[in-house]
Amino acid sequence: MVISMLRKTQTSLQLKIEQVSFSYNGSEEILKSISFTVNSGQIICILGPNGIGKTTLLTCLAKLNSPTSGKILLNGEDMSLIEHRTIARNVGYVPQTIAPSFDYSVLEYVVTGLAPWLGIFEKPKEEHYQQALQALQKIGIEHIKDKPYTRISAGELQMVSIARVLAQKVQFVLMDEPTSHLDFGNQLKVLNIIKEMAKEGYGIVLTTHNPDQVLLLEGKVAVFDRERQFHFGNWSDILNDKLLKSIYGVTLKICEVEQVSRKVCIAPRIE
Amino acid sequence: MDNTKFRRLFTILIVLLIITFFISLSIGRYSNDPLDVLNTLFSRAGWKEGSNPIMDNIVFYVRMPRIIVSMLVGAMLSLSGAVYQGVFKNPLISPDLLGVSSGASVGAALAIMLGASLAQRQITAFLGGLLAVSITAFIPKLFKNRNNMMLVLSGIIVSGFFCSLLSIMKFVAEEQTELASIVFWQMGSMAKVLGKEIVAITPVFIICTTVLLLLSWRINILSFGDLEAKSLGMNITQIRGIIIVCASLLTASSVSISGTIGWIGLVIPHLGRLAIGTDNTKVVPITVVMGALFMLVIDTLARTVSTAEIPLSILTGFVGAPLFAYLLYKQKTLVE
Amino acid sequence: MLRKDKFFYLFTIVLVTLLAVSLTSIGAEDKIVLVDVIGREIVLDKPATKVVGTHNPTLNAAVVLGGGEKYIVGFGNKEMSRPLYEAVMDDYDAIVQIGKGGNINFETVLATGADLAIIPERFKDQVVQFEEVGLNVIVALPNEESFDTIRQSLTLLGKALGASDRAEMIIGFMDDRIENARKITSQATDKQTVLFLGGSSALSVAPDAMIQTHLIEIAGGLNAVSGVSGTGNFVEVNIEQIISWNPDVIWYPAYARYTAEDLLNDPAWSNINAVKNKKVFAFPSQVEPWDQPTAALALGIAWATHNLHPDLYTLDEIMADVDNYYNMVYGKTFTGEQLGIK
Repeated sequence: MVISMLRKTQTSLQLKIEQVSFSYNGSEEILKSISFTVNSGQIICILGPNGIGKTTLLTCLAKLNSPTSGKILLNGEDMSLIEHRTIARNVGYVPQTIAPSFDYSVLEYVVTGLAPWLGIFEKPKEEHYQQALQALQKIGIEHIKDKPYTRISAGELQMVSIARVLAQKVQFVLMDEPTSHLDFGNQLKVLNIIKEMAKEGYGIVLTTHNPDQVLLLEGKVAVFDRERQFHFGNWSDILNDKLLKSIYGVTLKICEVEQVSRKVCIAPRIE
Repeated sequence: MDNTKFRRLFTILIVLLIITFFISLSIGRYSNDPLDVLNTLFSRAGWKEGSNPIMDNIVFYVRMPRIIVSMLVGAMLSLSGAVYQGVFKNPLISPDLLGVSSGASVGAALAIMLGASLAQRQITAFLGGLLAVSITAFIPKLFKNRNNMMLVLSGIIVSGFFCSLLSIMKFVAEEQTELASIVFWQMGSMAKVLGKEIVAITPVFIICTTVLLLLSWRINILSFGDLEAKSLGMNITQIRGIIIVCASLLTASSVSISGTIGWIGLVIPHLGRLAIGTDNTKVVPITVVMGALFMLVIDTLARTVSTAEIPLSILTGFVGAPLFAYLLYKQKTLVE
Repeated sequence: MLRKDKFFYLFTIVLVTLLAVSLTSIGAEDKIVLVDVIGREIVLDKPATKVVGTHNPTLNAAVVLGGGEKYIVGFGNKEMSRPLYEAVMDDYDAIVQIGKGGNINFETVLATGADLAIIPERFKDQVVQFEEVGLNVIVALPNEESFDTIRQSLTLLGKALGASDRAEMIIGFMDDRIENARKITSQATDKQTVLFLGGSSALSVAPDAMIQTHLIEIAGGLNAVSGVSGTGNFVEVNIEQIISWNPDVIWYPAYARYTAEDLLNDPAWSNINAVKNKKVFAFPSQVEPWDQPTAALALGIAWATHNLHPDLYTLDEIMADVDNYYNMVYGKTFTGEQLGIK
């Protein structure tokens, strides 16, 4: 499945996070001097306990929040100096939940992904609607294009969000808990799409509550433990039982399971 | 994109508007004969000899200005309602929300009490409305809270304050002359609108409507919420600011010449969405024409149904409130 | 007993009885019993001396009967006739402001020490509240206005204030002027239609139930307004309605917010007879309104007659009436300039 809507790009696409710290209104620091890099074609999962700052980090990567110190470089340029529109042409954000007020159709919703590419007074034309339609087709949901997006299932809605970010023609996609309210089947479907996107060259950063997804996606991890210690690297290098215990406070094991021919991250029996 | 439904509806509405225009031009307390009107129009155009000066006077100085202003006011109030609803992600609000109407009312009442001319009244109403919006916009900054809900609460506070101010003025006003004038105007009337007032508000109408039409797609995006809108690269403070200023200018203009007229800013956008869907690129133009048509019909009734002039808010409430209940029923998802 | 003694006792008993009867009837004669315009019976032990009100026409009767501030302790509409009242009262500003229209501060009323409130029928709901603070209340003018209602208000209040003689005198003057007008206009050959506008807006008109109708008729004109119902208050109408009535003459109150110029310059009004012939007039006067149901209406009648029939009743004749009235009531006169008559 070819998902990519990417333009012809260089391979030196990179989101570089350098010593980034963040706190809300001068209160306690949520992010303390964090550094890591996102390259095109990479998947990075952000793990951590509830409320530790996973979403905050993600929003900083889209310049929806600004770090209190440190900088984020988008393809070599300091993000704080780039205007929102340009950022939106390079970085897409898929929010955790959408709270719709009006019954836009799926197509009308997805075509708004073209917003960073249109002038402020411009309206989308036929060609733009075509691009939106193509995005829907890439994920195989074009049959719901005229349905109001308030009347589709949670799974379909998540696909629609992803379709929009595809229509946005970005290089980096940030997803906030993309599987949190999906049934198992839809969860795997989304993970599949994410893997395809990475293969096509998208750099993807997602937050998740499920460490096993990291193993499925075979990506890198950015981990916050309960003391707000930050760890980054390949999952196979970083994730171990000890780290998992320090994140979640419970025992989790990583073990090789023959039937599925892969390592899994799993909870032991509940007594 | 399927534009045929939109084009069809728009055409039908324009045709209806033109027909209603001529019907309205033909009826009135003085005469209900369309032939009189046609004769007058023809003789003005030079196609017919001889004219009835009284009828000429009625058509061009009494009815025409009033018809034009009622269409303008209907369009302006409906448009600002539709736009506010989009920008605040709330289909249940109206132009009075941000305090514009009450601020404009106070400005106008001040002019009435000081015995100012109608032109001066328009200016003070304008200023009153803008003052109210400015305060409403300032309060959230004071609390360092940029939430939409904060803005709504702030608007309620400002509206309440200005309404009390208006009540004080009514209390202080001389019973015989001023009070009656303020009260009647508060319920909305086109009866005293002068030609030069229409000329004064037309540029506001043209500029603000054009800006809002151009930004109508961006309103869709704003209605997703700040997070999504920002992530799509929009400068939300700037765009939202421009939209609010334009919508408020439209409301203040309309209030300054015809007083407060309720319901139309709430109901017409809903009717528009029911007819054409929620995409603002379609809703905005449809609302403008629907609003003009609706107000034209209402005002025609107000001046012809009885010898006495019926205040407009009474009619719009009488028609608008049940209509709104029906619309809510049809769009059940809104209330859920 | 001796016959002489019996006779003496009989005589004393009869005398005492007669005395007792006459004493009680004297006591009874002291009480004043009135029936106001809405049929309420009011009993006063003695004439009232301190009066309050918020409505100019009704309170004016008390001013006129007193020849000035004699009875007035509290008033709510001080602006309407300010020029006149300032001229005939020593310290007009000292008169307590008790509230406006329907909104009265009853504690303030209590503090004035008033014993009588005078109100119009449309404020009749205030009766209970005035009585609660110990005042008697007379509803002196009904919603439907006419010459009779003026006579009635003067008579009623004359009785209440112990000034029945003055009331009779003033009514006599008014009747005389009405008779005079009738006589004069019977010689007139044409009847002009007159439109009387309200003060708040040029599109408000006086329906039949207002005194303006009677004023127009007695001055030999016809009320241009037809088909408008309503009691005692101006009604907003559509400009087309006014155009179709096409009055010959337009009168508007001296206290109006607009002027004759506004109407003469408005293109929408330009085809109306009154505007074409420049017969748009401010109804006098500048010192007090002559178009309200008060004793001064007699002067309004005089002016109206002159306005519609200047050849039959001259300016000098009006001024004679005016001087007579103000002299009789207040012992003062006013010039034409002060009154705004030319």
